[in-house]
Amino acid sequence: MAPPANTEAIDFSEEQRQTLADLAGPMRLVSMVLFLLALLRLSIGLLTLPSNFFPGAASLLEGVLTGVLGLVMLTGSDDAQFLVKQKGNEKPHLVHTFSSLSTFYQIQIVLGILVGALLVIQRPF
Amino acid sequence: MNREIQLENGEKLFVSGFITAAAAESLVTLVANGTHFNWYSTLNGALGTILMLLLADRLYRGDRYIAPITLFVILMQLGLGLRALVDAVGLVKIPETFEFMALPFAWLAVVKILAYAILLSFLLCSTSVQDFLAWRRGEQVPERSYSTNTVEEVTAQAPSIPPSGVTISLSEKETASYANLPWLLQTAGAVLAVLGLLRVVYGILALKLIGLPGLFMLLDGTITLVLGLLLGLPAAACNLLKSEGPDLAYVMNAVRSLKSYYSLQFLLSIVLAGVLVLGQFIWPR
Repeated sequence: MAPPANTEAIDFSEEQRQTLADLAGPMRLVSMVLFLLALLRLSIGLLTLPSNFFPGAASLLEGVLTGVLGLVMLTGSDDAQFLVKQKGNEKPHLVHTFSSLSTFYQIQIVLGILVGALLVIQRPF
Repeated sequence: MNREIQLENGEKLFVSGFITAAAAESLVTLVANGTHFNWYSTLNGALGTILMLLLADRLYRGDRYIAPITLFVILMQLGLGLRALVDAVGLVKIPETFEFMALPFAWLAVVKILAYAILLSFLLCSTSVQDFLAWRRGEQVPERSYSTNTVEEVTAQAPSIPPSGVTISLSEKETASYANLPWLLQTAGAVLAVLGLLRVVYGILALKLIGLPGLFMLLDGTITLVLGLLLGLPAAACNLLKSEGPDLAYVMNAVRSLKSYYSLQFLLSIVLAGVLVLGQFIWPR
């Protein structure tokens, strides 16, 4: 009797595996830049907070959310990497990669609306 | 069925555009009068709101001659918004005789400009809205409009990537992991584009008022705007995956598109971080 077919596997060709590996790299780089941007926003927030509470707090909040974005993108990047490395278990990692991206853009929409609202409410110059 | 969806989309956009403009007009009037009461501006705001609702009503009823008047009124309101913005940031003051046109805060003028710009773009650029209005006027709506409007239909019609024939079997729950991605990517792109545009407008004004820091804001806005607009490309690829199903060719197409976007996002984000450092730490205002 033949063993049951592995339902978690996706038969990617070598070229397709390379494309997936190429996705993981830029995703990781983007997450690193997001961490950098988060750090910058947090620093600006901390520096501004004592003299100007509202813009400082807004910058801190933006920094925190940007950091969360970086974390989610890093998770997605790890899943894309596992997709390539863990043969026979591709499907869950593909689903996780897509889920991470969905979460990433949900947070990005919230962040974008928040920053836009703050920009409109506070006169920036 | 396509025809019904098409006209329904047009109606939704038409109504939401006018509601946005009327709501913005009311908000601007309320806030402006709450801080600096003025009978002229109260009347101006109230009449502006009522006029927009009347114009919407006439258009909805299929009035043939009201469209040019509506466009004129929208352009006039945009002009008034821009004039108020220029005045609010102190570039050129409004003469005393026309002081009722002035707004106490720049952000009120920005809200007004954005609302009318959204309405104008719906009326001029959306074929759904144009077809809906043509249908209300009892005109023959061209055939093209029923098959080229929703993103799903555009993608399905385009000379798309041929399927590989290898389908990934996914459960309903697993399919849900990417089902929302096209919508999320499109919405995130639109939010980024509006945010970028807002920063570009502020940047141009700041450039004139405070010099160099305005340039940083302008650059920041331009990068955000570009990133927002380009997000439409992976959105289209994910939409193809959603509409055609999890064929390996469509999965790889979405992956390639996302990869290209993230490569560009990385480079532009580095520039953005540089702009942020320059603007906040090296040349603070």
